[in-house]
Amino acid sequence: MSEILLARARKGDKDAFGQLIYPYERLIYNIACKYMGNAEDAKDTAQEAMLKIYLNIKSCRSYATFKAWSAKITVNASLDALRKRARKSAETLEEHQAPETDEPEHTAIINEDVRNLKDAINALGEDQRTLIILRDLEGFSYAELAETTGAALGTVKSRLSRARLALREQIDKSWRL
Amino acid sequence: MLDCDKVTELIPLYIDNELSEEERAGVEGHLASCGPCKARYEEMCSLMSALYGIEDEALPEGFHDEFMEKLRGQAKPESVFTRWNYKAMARAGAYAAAAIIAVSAVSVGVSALLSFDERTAESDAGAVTQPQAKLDQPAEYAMNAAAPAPAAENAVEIVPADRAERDLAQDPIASSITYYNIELTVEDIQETMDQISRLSGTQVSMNKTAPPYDGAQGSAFITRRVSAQEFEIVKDRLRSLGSAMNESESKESRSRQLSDLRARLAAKEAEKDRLLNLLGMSGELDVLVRVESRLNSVADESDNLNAQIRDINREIGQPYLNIQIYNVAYDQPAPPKQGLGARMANSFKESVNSTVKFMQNLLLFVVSAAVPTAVCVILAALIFILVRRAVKKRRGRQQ
Repeated sequence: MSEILLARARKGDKDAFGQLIYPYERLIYNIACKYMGNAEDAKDTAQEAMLKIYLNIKSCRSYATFKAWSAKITVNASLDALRKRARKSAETLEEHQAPETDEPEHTAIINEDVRNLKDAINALGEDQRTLIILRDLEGFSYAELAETTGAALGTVKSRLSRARLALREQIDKSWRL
Repeated sequence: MLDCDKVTELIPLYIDNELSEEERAGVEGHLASCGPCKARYEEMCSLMSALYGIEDEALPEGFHDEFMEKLRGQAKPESVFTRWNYKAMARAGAYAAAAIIAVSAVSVGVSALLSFDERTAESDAGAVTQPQAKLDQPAEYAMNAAAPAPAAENAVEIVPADRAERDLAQDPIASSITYYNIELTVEDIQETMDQISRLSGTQVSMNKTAPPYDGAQGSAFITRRVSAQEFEIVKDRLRSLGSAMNESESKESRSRQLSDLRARLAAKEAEKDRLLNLLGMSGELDVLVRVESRLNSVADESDNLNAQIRDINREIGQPYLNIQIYNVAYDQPAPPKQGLGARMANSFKESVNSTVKFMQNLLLFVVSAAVPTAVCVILAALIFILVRRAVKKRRGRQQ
């Protein structure tokens, strides 16, 4: 059924694409949330990523890889959005951060520990952050990680191991501060 | 036994149950005996718990409908080929360039190798004494067990160049043919021609260029052979007939040609002997007919080769004289005087011709040089774009 939806979406059937993407909307939104840090940006980034997924749907080889392929596009879209945001002035950056405290129900920050943890994740490099978000926050399997990052399974294991150690060091550092 | 660093590296995978049995046992053994590593393991476990404890965000209300609204405004999905895929294009360009370079290199290499082989064969192997000695034997030769096997003497013998020269030096007949070339400017071409005829007492054979005799603009080209005895005498007399403009003497070796012809003749004679032998042995009529036919053919070829050898031998003893005769008064006729209009017309015609020639050369340049240049420029541009994108990407990461 999903393969049929994928085939129809490839031909430009937007309703079919809507049905195809619906089960993954929450995943895409949550990945965007982990990168962007606030609900508004996460929503925009997630919808931007979903449009990119639709426009590039012909590049998706089969439904078996659809989840990892969509995650890859979402990660790239989130990183692009982060870069755009970084280029903006510090004032604009503060405007983005302001709603986090004003509207806590729309942010991923629930308490201080989680906030510290998220800060530590965001302090990691892009590759390590992606692995932690996808594996430890979104529950991707190692095979899906390999598909998403385009790396070999063994490489993914060792990189993820290093990423977790780096995260622990980052948390230690922030506690010492 | 695993050390602390290795165990620290393996702890995250141990928690995920992604280790082999052996590694898992090693880690568990180490953790049981190492307090600091045990503490690190517990820290990592609590970190993982904290990570897993981060709850998923619920989708904002109306997320799907809002997306579908945006989706309706979109065009159809893009074809993989219509999108600007710089990386794929650069990769394809690089493959194409590599293929062109590889094909060119292989072509150059092969042609160089072939020309080297030809030179080597010429210079090192020496004279091939029987280049055409491969016999066109009838099929029965190979199949008839009773027939004698082709003798070893039929094999093509490659004689080293120095040996071939030495053999010819010892040969009383083989030698070179001498050519004497002289250009004479004379008052009267006809009279000079007659004198040249009288020099040897016989009518000379003449190869004339037009117009040879009619007045002031004449010239003539004569080739004739003289005996070796009178060669020097004729040369002196020719010099006295008029003013010698150019004079040269050259020798053309026929040694290798003679050697080749003799080898081929020997091969044909050997074949003739074998065919005669076969003729005596075979009793079947159709075989006899075919052998007889082949024998006649070989005999003809043998006669032909003998005739060629005789011709060369005859030439060797008789030097050639090449005489070119020009009239003294011969001069390049001055172009008739032209009026201003005619000169302008000629000038215009020349400029049109030169323009056409220039355009032809330009077209040739465009086809032969500009297209490869354009390909190189496009490749360079693609590489530049890729590098710029990579630099931008890196800067973005740094930011």
